Amino acid sequence: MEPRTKKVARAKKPAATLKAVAEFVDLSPSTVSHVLIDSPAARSVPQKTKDRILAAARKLNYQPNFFARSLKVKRSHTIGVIAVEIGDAYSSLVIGGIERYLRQRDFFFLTVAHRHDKKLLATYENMLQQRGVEGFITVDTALNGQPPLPTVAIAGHRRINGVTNIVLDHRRAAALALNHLVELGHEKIAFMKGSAASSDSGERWNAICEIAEELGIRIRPELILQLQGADPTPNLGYPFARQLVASKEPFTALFAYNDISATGAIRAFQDARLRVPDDVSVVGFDDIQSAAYLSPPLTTVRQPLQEMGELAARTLLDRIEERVKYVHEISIAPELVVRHSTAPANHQRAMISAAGSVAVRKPSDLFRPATG
Amino acid sequence: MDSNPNNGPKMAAPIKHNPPMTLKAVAKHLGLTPGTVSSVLNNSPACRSVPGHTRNRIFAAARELKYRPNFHARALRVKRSYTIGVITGDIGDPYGSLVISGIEHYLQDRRFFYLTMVHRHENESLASSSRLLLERGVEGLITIGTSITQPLPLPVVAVAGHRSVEGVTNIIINHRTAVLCALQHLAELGHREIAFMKGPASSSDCEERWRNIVEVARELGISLRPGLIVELNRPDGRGALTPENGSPFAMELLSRDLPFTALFAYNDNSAIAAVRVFRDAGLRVPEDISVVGFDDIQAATYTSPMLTTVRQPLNKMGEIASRTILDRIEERGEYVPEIAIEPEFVVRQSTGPAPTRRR
Repeated sequence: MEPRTKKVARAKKPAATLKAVAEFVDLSPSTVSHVLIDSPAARSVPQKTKDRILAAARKLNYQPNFFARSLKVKRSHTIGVIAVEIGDAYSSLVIGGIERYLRQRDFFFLTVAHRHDKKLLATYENMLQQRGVEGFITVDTALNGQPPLPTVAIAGHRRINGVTNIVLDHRRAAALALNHLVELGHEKIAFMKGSAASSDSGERWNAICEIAEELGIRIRPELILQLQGADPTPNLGYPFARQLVASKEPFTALFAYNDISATGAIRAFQDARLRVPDDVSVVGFDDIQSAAYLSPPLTTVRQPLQEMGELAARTLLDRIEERVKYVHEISIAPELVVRHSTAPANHQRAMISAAGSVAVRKPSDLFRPATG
Repeated sequence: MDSNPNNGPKMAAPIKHNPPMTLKAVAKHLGLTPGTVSSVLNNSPACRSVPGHTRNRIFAAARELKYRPNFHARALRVKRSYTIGVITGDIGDPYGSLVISGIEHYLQDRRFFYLTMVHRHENESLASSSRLLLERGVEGLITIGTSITQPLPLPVVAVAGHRSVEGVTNIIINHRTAVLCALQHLAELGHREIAFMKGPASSSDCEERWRNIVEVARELGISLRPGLIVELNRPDGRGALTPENGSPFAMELLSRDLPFTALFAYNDNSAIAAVRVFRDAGLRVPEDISVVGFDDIQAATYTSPMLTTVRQPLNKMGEIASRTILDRIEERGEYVPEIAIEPEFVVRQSTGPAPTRRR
C-alpha cells in the first residue's frame, strides 16, 4: 500500500477499478462485481471467496463508480425532498418517516430547505433535477405549476397534474376538535386562522367553517386570530393570544392552528393569570413530541407525521417505478388525543379581572429562538 | 421566445416527462459548435473570447429549451460529486434535526448538497450507511452523535464523536465547562443531594460527560450516591433519549425513596420527562426538586417551568461541521483532530434554592 499523506489529496487518489480488483484476486470481473454489489447472483459464491474479494477491494481502495453506473442505467435512485425548514418538529418527523421508507428500498434523498424564499425554491427545483433526482417530495411547500418530475406533496392542496397530494382529512379533524369542545359545553370558541405561509391554512379554515355551521357553532369575527409570518417557535401564537386577552372579549376555548401556536397561546393565557383548562380550554393540532409534556399536556388533533412521510416515499417510489396509477390525492385520517388542556366550559370566568392585568415577560425573551 | 420546437405539446401527457435536452441540440438550435456552447454554460476560461451578445443568446436558448447539464456525466468527467454524506442517529429528534439544519444552512450557497442516512445508534447501520454513501461518491462525511471506527479515504467530521480516528475531525463541546456550570449552579443554590441521569452507552457523549461529572463533583465536594444514579438504558439495549422513554427512569429515581433535591438530567428530553413525572407525583419544580437539562432544544422553553439547561449551539455545530468538511475537500484548511465548542449555561425556571426540609 502506498504511504498515505495527511492532506486531503488522498480523497482524489485514483480508486482501483473493478478490473484491477478482479486481476488481483484472479477471478472474472463479473464475479467480483456480483459480490461487491451483493447481487442475488453472489449467493453461489463461497463465503471464503467473498471474503477474499472484499479484502482485496478494501486493500486496493476500490469504489464502485456510482456516476458511471447511473449514466449507464439512467437511474439515480435518488429523490429530492423540498421542505420549508428542517430543524422544526413537524418537518423533522416527516423527513424521518421518508428516510425510514427509502432505506428499505435502497433509495437516497437530497434535502433542501427554502425557508419561504420563492427564488431559492425555484433554484433548488432546478438544481435537484440537474442532479438527476427521479422525483420530488415537498413538505408544506406550495409549488408553482407542474413540476418536471413525479411529485408527492405533503400538505399540498393545489390540484396540479403530476402531483399527488397527501392531505389530512381536515373536515374530520375539525369535527373531532369541535365536537369535543361542544360536548364540554363550549360556545364562545376562539379560532386561530393559519398564516398564508402555511399550506394547510386555507383548507383547514374552510373545514372549520363548514363543521361549525353543521354543529351550530357561531364563529365570532372578534374571536378569530389571524396568524402572520412563519415563526417556527411558539411566538407564532403568543402575541395573538395576548391580543385576544387584551380585547376583553369573553371566550372559554381556543382551537389553535397547531401545537406550536397552542404552546404560545397557553403561555400567553398563563401570563395573564388565566388557568388552562379551568378558565380556558386549548386544542392544538399535529401532536408534536413536546405536546404531551406541556403544562398542562395538550389535547390535540394528531397528524401521523412520520407515517405521512413513509406514505409519501412509498407513493413516489411506486410512481417512479410505474407500479401504481397516478392519483391526485391520498387522504389521511386524524385522531383526537385528549390530554389535560381541555375541560368543561367555565362560563363564570371573570374576563375583566384577567385581561390586561400583568405583563409578565417580554414576548421576545420568552421562547428559545429557532436557531443558535 | 415562443419558438420551442423540441418541447412537444405541453399538456398532452401530464405524467410523462420529456427526455432531457442535450447540449448538442442547443448548439444546433443556435448554429454554434457544442464546444462554444459548453464553454459559455460552464463559464470556462475559453468562453472569454465569445462576444457578450453571443453569450446572452446561448443563455437565452438554454433557458428556452430547458437545457440542464447532465450532472452525472459531469461528475464522472471532473471526478467530483459536490455531495457530502450526513449520518445521524435520528432525523425526527430535536438534537439531530438542529445539527442538520445548521449543515443545510451552510451548504445552501455553496453548490454542495448532502445525502442523509440514519444510524439509529446501531454499529452495523453506521457501517452500512458510510459504505453506501461512499459508493455514491460523496466527497466528505459528517457523522452526528457517533464516529466511524476505521479511517476512510475522505474527509470526515464527527459531531459529538468522541473517538480518535485518523482523518476524523471531532466537533465536541467542552464537557468540563458544561458540567462545572451546572454543578456549581446547583451547589450555589444549596443542593447537596443531587440525582444524576447517566446517558445510554450508545450515546457518544455519555462517557465523556460522566467522566467530567465524577471529576467536577469531587472538586466541589458533591458526593455521587449510587442510589441516586439512573442509567438511561432500555431493556432492548437502545438509548432512551426521547421524553417518552425517559419517564420510567425518573419514576425509578422516585421509587428508590432516597432523598434528593436536584436532578442533573442527561438531556432536555429526559429532563422534560422528569419534570412531568415529579409533578404528577405531587412534587413542585423547582420548590421541591430542581432540574437541569442539557442541549437547549426548542422544547426546553415550552414546558412550565422552563428548563434551566446547558446550551449546546447545535445549529452552529452543524454549520462548523459543514464548513470544516468543505474546507478540507477544497483544501483550504489543514486537518485538525478536534474543534472544541464552548457551551453556555442558561438559567430559566426549573432550578431554585434547595428546600430546607428534604423530602
